[in-house]
Amino acid sequence: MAATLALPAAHLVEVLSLSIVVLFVLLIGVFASLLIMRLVLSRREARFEAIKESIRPLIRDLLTSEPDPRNAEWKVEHLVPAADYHELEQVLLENARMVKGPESDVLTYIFEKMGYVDEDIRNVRYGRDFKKAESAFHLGVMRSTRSVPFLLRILSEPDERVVFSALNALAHIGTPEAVDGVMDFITGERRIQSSRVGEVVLEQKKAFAPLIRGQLVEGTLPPERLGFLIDLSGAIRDVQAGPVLLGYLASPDDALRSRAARSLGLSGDVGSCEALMASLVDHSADVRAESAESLGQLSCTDAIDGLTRALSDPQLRVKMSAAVALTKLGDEGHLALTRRLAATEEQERGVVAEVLGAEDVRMKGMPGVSRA
Amino acid sequence: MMKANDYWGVVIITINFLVFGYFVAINTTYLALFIAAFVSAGRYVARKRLVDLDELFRSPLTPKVSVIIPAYNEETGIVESVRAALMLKYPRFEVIAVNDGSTDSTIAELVRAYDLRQVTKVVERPVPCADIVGVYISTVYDNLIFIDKEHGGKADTLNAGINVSTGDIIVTVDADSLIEPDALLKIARPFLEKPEETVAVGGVVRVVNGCTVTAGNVTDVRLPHGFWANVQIVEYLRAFLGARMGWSTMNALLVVPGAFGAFDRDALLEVGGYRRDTVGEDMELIMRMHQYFRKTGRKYHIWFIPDPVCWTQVPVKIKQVASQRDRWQRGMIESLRAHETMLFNPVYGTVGMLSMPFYFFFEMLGPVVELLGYAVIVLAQAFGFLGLKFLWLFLSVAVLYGIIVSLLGIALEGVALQHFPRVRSLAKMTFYAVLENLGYRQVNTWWRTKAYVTYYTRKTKWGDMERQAYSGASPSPDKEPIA
Amino acid sequence: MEKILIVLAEDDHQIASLVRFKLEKDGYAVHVAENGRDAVDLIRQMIPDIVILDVMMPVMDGFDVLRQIKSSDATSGIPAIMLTAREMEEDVLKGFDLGAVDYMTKPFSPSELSARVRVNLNGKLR
Repeated sequence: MAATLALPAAHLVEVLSLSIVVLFVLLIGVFASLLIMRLVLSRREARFEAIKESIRPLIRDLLTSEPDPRNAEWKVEHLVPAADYHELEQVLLENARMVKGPESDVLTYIFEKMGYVDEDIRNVRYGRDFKKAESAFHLGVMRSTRSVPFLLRILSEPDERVVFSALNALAHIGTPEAVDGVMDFITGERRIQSSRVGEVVLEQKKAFAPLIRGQLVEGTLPPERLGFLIDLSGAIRDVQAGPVLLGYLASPDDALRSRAARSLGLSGDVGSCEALMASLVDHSADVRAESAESLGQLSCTDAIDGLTRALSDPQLRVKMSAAVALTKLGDEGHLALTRRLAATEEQERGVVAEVLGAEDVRMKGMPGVSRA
Repeated sequence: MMKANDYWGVVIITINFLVFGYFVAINTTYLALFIAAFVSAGRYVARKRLVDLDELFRSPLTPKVSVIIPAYNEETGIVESVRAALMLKYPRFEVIAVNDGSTDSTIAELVRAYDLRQVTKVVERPVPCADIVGVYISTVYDNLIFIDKEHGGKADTLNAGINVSTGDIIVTVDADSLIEPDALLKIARPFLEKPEETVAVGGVVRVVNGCTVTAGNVTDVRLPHGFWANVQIVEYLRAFLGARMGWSTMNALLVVPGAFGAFDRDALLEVGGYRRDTVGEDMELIMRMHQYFRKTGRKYHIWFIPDPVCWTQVPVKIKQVASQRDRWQRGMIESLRAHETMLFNPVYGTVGMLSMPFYFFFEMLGPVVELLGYAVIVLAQAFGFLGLKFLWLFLSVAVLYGIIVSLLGIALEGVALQHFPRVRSLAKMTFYAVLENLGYRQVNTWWRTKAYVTYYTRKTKWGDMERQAYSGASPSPDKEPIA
Repeated sequence: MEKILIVLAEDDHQIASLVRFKLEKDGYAVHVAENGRDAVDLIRQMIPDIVILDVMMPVMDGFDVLRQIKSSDATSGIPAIMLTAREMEEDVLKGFDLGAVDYMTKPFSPSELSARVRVNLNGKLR
C-alpha cells in the first residue's frame, strides 16, 4: 500500500517545490524593492528638508521685518530659486499656521501671488480625494477668501476626509459666506461622525454664536441636532444664548433639558439661576446633576437651600454635583455643606466628607512645592 | 526515493504533509495580514498629514481621559511612571494609580513624592473589585488620585481604577512602560473621528532596550546589543505590529495590549469590566467585547493604531523570557477556551470565522503541531520515507518562509512607518529576522508547548500565579540598563 | 546699553525660533528653554527681565513654571506673559490668578507679542 503512495507524493513534492521557489523569489523581490524605495525616499526627504532649512531664515526675516506684502512677495520671488517652489510652499504653510494678524496677511498675499492658491483650488476642483482634502486644508491655512465658493462645493462630497478638511478650512477663513456654509452643513441632513466638527466652530466663536442662537430659537431641527447646537453654545460660552437655553430647559426631551442645563453653566448667564434652581427637582437625574453643577459655576447664592436639599438626592452623582457646587458659593455655602456632615443618610455624609476633605487637601497645596 | 513500507510509513508521510501544510497556512496567513497592514499603514500615514494634533483644544467637547496605572510592588519605578503620566500632553485627564496590596514601599514612595493626603471617598462599584482601603489625593497635582486596595490581582486592580474614574475614555498602562508624551492625543483620535463605533483602541508597544531615554522621553531609537532583545524586536514587528494591524482592518483584533490600551468607559461598564480569574485579562476582555457587541448586533470597531505610544523593556535573561511567554500562552488558552462558542460561528463575523480560528489553530495548537512536525520530519528522514527534496521543501516553508514574513515586518516598519531612523538598523534587523526563525522560534515553540501541558495539569494552582509581577521582566538590576 | 533679557519657554521649535528672531531684531536678548523644568532652571539662573511661557509643554507646563518662579523671592517679581493654545477662559483666568501679567493666544502676531513685551516691561526699561 505504501508503494502506491510513493508516486503521487513524489509528484506533489515537485509541484510544491516549484511554486514555493516562485513565491519566495517574488516576495524577496518585494522586500528588496521596498528597501530600495525606502533608501530613495529618505535620501529625497533629507534633500527636501535641507532646502526647507535654507529657506526658513528668509521667511522668518520677512515676517519679522517686512510689513508690506508686496515687498515681501517680491523678495520671495526673487530670492528663492524657482526649482524650490514646493519646499517654499511647505515653509510658508508652516509659518502661516503659527501667525495671525498683519504677518498672516503678508503670507496670504504671497500665497495668492505665487500661484499656490490657484494650484490648491485646482486640486479641490479636479483632484483625487486625498489631494482634495490636503489642498482644502492648505487653503484654510492660507486663509484664502477666494477659495470659499470652491470649498463650499465640496461639502457635498462622499469622502469624509474631504468634507472635514473643507469644514476646517472654511472655519479658519471665516468670511460670512464660509460661516454660513459651515452652519448649513452642521444643521443639514448629512452628518459626519467626527466630534471634531464642534472644534471647527470654536475657530470663529463670534461669527457662529448668533447663527447657533438663531437655529436654537427656530427649533425646527431634529432633537439630536438641536442637542449638538446646545452643546456648542456652551462650548463657545455664549452668554447671550442664556434666554434661548432657558427655553430648552423646559423641553419635554430629557436629553435636551440636561444639555441645556449644562450649557447654561458654561454660558455664564446668571439670569438663569432661578430656572436652574427649579430644575433641581427634575425627574431626570442627569438634569438634576447638571443643574447643580451649573448653579455652582454661576455662583447662584440663592440656590444654597435648594442645593442643600439636593444632597439627599437618591442618585450619587447628583449629591456630588450639589456638594461641589456648594463649595463655590462662599462662606454661606460652606456652612450649609458642613452642617450636613451630621446627615442621617450614610451616602450623604460620605459625599460631604469627601468634598470637604478634598478641598482641605487642595488648600494645602502651596505654590512652588518642590516636586520629586 | 521513497521507500515506505507498512502502516507507519503512510502515517508518517501523511503527518509530514500535514505539518507542511500547516507551515504554509500559517505563513501565508501572516502574508495576507501584512498586505492588509501595509494598506492600512499607508492610509494612516497619509491621514496624519491632514490632522493637526495640537488642535485638540481644552474645550468642553474634548473627551476626558482617565489613565489607570495598576501597581504591585513597584517601589523602584512607580514615582517615575506616575510622573510620566502626569506630564502627558492632553487637555483634560486624570491619573489614577492603584496599589494592589503591595508588600514593599510603593505607597510610601508615592506619598512622599506627591505629598499625598488621605481623603474619604464614596465609591460605587459598577464593576467588581476587592475592598478599597484608602483613597489619597495630592496637594501638588490636582488630577492625581491614588487608590490603596487589598490584593486581588491585576484585573481586579484595573477594575478598581475604572470604578473611581470619571473620564469618558479609560486608558490602561503598565507601571513599567514608558509612555510617549503625545500618546493620549494619538490614541484619542479614533474616539473623536468615529465616536459612536469606537469602543477600544490599541497602540503599538515598542521595545525600548537599546534606546536613549532622556527625561522620560525616548530621544534616540537604536537597536540594543544581545540576542534576546533583538530577536524579540523582530518578533514584535511581525506579531504585534503587522499581524495586529492586519486584524484591526477587519475588526477582528483579539488583543489590545495591557501595556497601553484605551477603552470607551461606557462600553467597558457594559461588558462588566475585567475578569479577575484569568491570567490573560487583556485578551479576555477584548474577546468578550467582540462577543457582546456582535451578539447584540451593535455597530462597533476595535482599532489598532500603528503610531508608537508606549515603550517597554523586554526581558533579556532566558528564564524571564521563558516565564513571560509561558504566562502569555496560558492567558491566551484561557481566553480562547472561555469564548469557544465564537469559533467558526458566523454570528461573530470576522472574529469567529477568521481571527479566532487563527489563534486557536496557529497560536494555541500551533506549537504542538510544530514540535510534532520537527519530530516527524526527523523520523521520516531517518527511516528514509521521504527524500532529501522533501526535507528541503519542509525547511523552506518552516524556516525560509517564516524569515520572509519577518522581513516583511521589517519592511512595514522601515518603509511605511519609518520609526527607525538608521538604515543600518534595518540591516541588523534583517540579520535577526533570520535568527528569529532559526532558533528563537523553535525555543519559543518548546516553551509554548510546555505551557499548554502545564495549563491542563496545573490548573488548580492558579492562586500561585496571582503573586507574580505584572510584567514578565522583573525590575532592575536584571533589566538591561537604558542609556 | 545692556540688552533686556527675555526667557522664552516653548517646546515647538518653529514657534520658538520665530519669536526669538523677532525679539532679537527688536533689540532684546533671548534665551529659549524647551520644557518646563529647563525653563525654571534657566530663569533662576539668569533672572531675566521678562518671561514668555507656553502653557502646554512637556515635563512641566507653563502654569507650574509660573508657580515655581512666583514662589521664590529672587524670581517672583519677573513679569510673565502666557502663550495659550486657545482663548479658553480657564486658562486665561488661571494664568492671571497665578500672577501672569498678560496672555497671548496661538496663532499670534509676532509684532503684537513684541508690543506686549514692551508694554509689560514699563518700569524696567533702562
